[in-house]
Parts: sequence; C-alpha cells; structure tokens
Amino acid sequence: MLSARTILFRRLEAVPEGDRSARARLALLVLAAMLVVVASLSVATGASDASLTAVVKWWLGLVPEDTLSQRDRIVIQEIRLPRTALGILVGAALAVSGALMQGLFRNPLADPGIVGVSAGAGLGAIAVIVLGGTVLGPVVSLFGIYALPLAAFSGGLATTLLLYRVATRRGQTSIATMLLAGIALAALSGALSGILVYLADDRQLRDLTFWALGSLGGATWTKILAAGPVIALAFVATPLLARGLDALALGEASARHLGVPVQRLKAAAILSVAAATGASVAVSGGIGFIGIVVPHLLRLIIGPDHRFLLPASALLGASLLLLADSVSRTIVPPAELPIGIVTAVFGAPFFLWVLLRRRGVLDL
Amino acid sequence: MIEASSLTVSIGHKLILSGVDFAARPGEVTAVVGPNGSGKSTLIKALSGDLPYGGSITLNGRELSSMRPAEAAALRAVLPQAASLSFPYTVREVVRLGILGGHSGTLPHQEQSLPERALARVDLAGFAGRYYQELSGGEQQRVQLARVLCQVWKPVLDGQPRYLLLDEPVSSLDIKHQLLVMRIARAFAGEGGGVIAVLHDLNLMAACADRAVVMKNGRAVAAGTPADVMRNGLLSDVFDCALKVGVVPQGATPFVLPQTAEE
Repeated sequence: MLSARTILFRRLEAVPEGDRSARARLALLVLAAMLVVVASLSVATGASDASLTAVVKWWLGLVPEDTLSQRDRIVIQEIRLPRTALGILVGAALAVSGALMQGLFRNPLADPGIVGVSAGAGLGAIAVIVLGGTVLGPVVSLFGIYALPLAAFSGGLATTLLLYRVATRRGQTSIATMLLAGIALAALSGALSGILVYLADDRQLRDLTFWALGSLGGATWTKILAAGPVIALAFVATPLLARGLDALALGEASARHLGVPVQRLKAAAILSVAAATGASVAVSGGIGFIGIVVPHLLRLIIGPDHRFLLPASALLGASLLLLADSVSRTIVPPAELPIGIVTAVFGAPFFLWVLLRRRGVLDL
Repeated sequence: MIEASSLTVSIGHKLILSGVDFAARPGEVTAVVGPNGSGKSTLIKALSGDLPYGGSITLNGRELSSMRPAEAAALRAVLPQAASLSFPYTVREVVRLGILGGHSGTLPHQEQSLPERALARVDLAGFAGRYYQELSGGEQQRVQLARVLCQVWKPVLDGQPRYLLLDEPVSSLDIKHQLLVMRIARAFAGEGGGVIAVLHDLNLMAACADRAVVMKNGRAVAAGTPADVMRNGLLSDVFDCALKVGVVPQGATPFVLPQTAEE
C-alpha cells in the first residue's frame, strides 16, 4: 500500500524546478487546517467557563436541551461565535487587501494601513458615528446597518483613488511618492476625524476611543451581516484578478502585451481594496499590519504567484487575527487589550525588518 | 503583415513620429535602425499599442486601436528593453507568464514543458529554479525573450502569421548570445512569422535582417534590403558621421564581424 508520504514525494519529484505550485497547494491545505484549529480554540476559550463541547453536543442533538445552561448557550452563540466569525472575516479581508494593494502598486510595502486607506475609511466611519443623528441622518436611515461599512468603503475608495492618481505617472508608480502621499492623506483624514471627535458627545466618544484602537469586542451577528456582503464582494473578485496581477509585476506595458486589460484590472483591484478595507475598518476599527505581515511571510514560503498568494493570505490573515485576539483577551485578565495594540506590537517591528532587508532594493 | 501608414505620435506637445510609413511582412526579419532619439523605440511602442497615434496601424489587416488587449496578444509578443520585476518570481514563473493568454499554439500537455523548452532555446537550460532578480542583465533579457517566445510559440496559428516585436533585443548580450537571439528571430521568420527588431549594430542588421527601415528625426528616411541602406551617403547623413561601407580599416586595428560566426 502506498502511504500518503510516498504519494506526496512522488508528486514532488515530478514537479519541474522553479514551479512552486505544488508547494503552494500543500500550504493552502495546511493553512486551512490551521484555521480550523485556531477558530475552534478561539470559540472554546474566554473569560467564562462555558464549555464548547457541551454546546456542540447539543447542536448535534446528542444531549437534551435542559442539560445546557442558558448562560453557556448565550456565551457561545451570541458572544464567542460572532467574535470568531468576525475575526475570520476581518483577518482575511485585511490580509487580502494588503496583498491586492501590493500587487497593484507593484511593491511589497503598500498596505492600506500604511498608505492612509484605513485612515480614510476611518474618517468615513467616524462621520457616520458622530453625524449619524444629525447631518448624515438621511444616509443612516436609507442604508440602515450598511451605512457604517458603506461610509468607510467610500472613505477608503476616495483615498485609494487619490493615492493612485498622485503616485502613478505614465503607468509607473513611484514608491516614494506613494508613501509620502499616504502620509499626507492619513494626516488629513486624521485631522478631519479629530474635528469630528471634538464634536462628539460622551457616549459617542466612548465608542470612538474603543473603536479607534481596533477591537473584535462587541462583535454581533448584525455587524457580520453588515460587513460580510461588502467583504464578500471583494473576495469574489480576487480569483479574476490573480493572473492579471502576476502579469502586472512585469510592468503595465508588458501586462497589456500579454493581453491583460490593465485599466479594468486596476479599477477592480482598487474597488476590492477599498471594499475589504472599508468594511473591516467599519466593524473592527484600526487593526494594522496584518496586510503587510501576512503576504510577506507567504511570499517567502510559496512565492508571489497571486493565484495562491491571495487565498493563502485570506487563510493566514484569519488565523493570525484570531491568535492576536486570543492574546488580547487573555494577557491582562479580566480586562481586554485592544487588538490593534497587539498587532502593532508584533507588526511594526516586522515592518522595520522588511524595510531593513529591502533597503538596497528600495531606492527611495 | 504589420503596416503603419502616415503614423504620427506626439508625447506631450512634442511630435516624436511624423508621417511614418512602415511595413513588416511575415516570413521576414525587419530591422529598425537609426541614431539615438530618432524615434525607433517610439515606433515599436506605437506598433505594440502602447501609445495613442494618428494615422493607421494594422495587424494582419485589422486596425490596432480597435483590438482588445487579448486579441492583440494572440497575434504578437513584445520584448521590452529592460524589465524589472517587483516580486521574487522564479525564472520558470516569469517564463510561464508568456502562456497567460493561452495562445502558444501547442497542445495542453506540451504547454506543461514549454517554459523548459523556451529556456533551453535561449541557452538558459537549468535556470528554471533560480530567482529572476538574482540574474545578470543579459540573463534577465534572455529570460524575457523565453517568456515572449512562449506567447507566440507557433509562428503561424489558425492561418494567421504572428509577430515578435523586439526592442533592442541584443543590447546587453555578449556576441555569442547576440547571434543566438538573431538566429531565433530568423528561425521564427523562417517558419512564417514576422519579426520587427530595433538594432544598433549595423553589422548585425546586415547579417540577419531581410529588410531595414532607417529612422531619423521621427521619420522613416529609407527602407529596403540591408544592401539598399548600407550606403556611404545614407549612413553618413543619418548618423551624422562619415562612414564607409565595406572598407577594411587602415593600420592593424583588429575587428570581428558577426558575419564570420559559423552556424
């Protein structure tokens, strides 16, 4: 009988040199398995001692309903499950938008958080939180729960478009201009957000502070319902973008010579980034660095082929954010550290490390 | 046939090409020569569909500006002058991008090994697993050529001749690989495809091209066989420097011509 090991190694032997697709497929399987484990742990752990196994047994009809406390059921179904689901959604969205943006700008340092797209999305979200009762009242009543993610999406989209306009000239994107324009746009969004915060009342302020640091706390099925479809739209587009982004790595002209409709590709990528970033920011605030850490790690392992990089980013982004969330929930019990602080503590040094490694190549 | 008539291209307010008539036939290597700044690269870019143009450019009879990128990609491949790559792709992954549009013309099971065959053709067998960014300039240029060859592997597909547009394909290559690239171009034309190549080396042009178009100041000032354009008066005038064709230099200055290389 052939063991799985033999089959695997036989297949690897048949792979031509320089072809990393077999390795990438294996990595996708491993990452998917990892996400299942991490997600289960995320649902199973928390401040309360509610038992996941008891709830699962009840779902499967193995035990009668009355063996389960009402409290445990609520803890699992209404607090932990939505939180884990939101973590998966947001982690995947942040990592994929990082990978898309890096492909679009042809640069591994492009990230919605770093170049001000998140700040722009944040401005949109803050505007709805603060002005939702007054000036933006009609918008809120028109779009309901979707008003917040849509406003964040619009803010993110406006920033991305502006950034692309400023940084790209005759099809060439200048890295230095992109980063500097990102700083300026982030500062502008920050200032406008500051004005709005100044106008906010006490209750709005508490919401805003918690939200600005980034958190998966307060996850509800409603929030998932609001952000989910917007993020899903971005995910649906990614498989169509993968080959084009690979061709784009050769430059815009070469991509067009290969038959890629470059303008359409760029527009779709910009919309996807803005949708995924905007919706994530709307429901979880400013969680940074997932978008830069995840694709970079994956490129080291499976290479930059976007057919694999994009789905792998979604899987690893979800896992990493759930892990960061677990840290944020357990490090200072019974209080909770905002998850944005956790991702920044690990992510910012990582970003510096990437900069150091690429210092020679960057040529700013 | 790739044909341009009354082709005009401006970049900003500057007129780069004015009224160029140009034709490249299938089965031939057409060289574009001329001094720096004469508009050779602009001509190749316009023929590749990179620039808005006045006049007309047709690709096998169809107006280029009305073709979708994928339609043009099925008929011609373009080798850029220099290509930097933004992510660490392996050589094989870069070459494989040539198959992207799915018009190599080979059968699906042959397409699997096409990158290896293309790399062997440009004398880079065994380089598939290396990182593109770690290669020398000349090696990178040949990797790009292998990618371009994959895109139009069969010089004629469904009765339509296909084309290679090469912008200074030998600029960073040693003499052995210059000859190799020109032999690949000749073979492509020999099988019924068309090749347009910007060349700086007049000897290489004379040795390898079927036809030459001479550019100066954004105009095509002469066209014909290499023998037609390799004339003292024309070359001296176009390159603004007194040149004599076919005269052995005085004294003992050694020289070597690509024409003397044995197949």
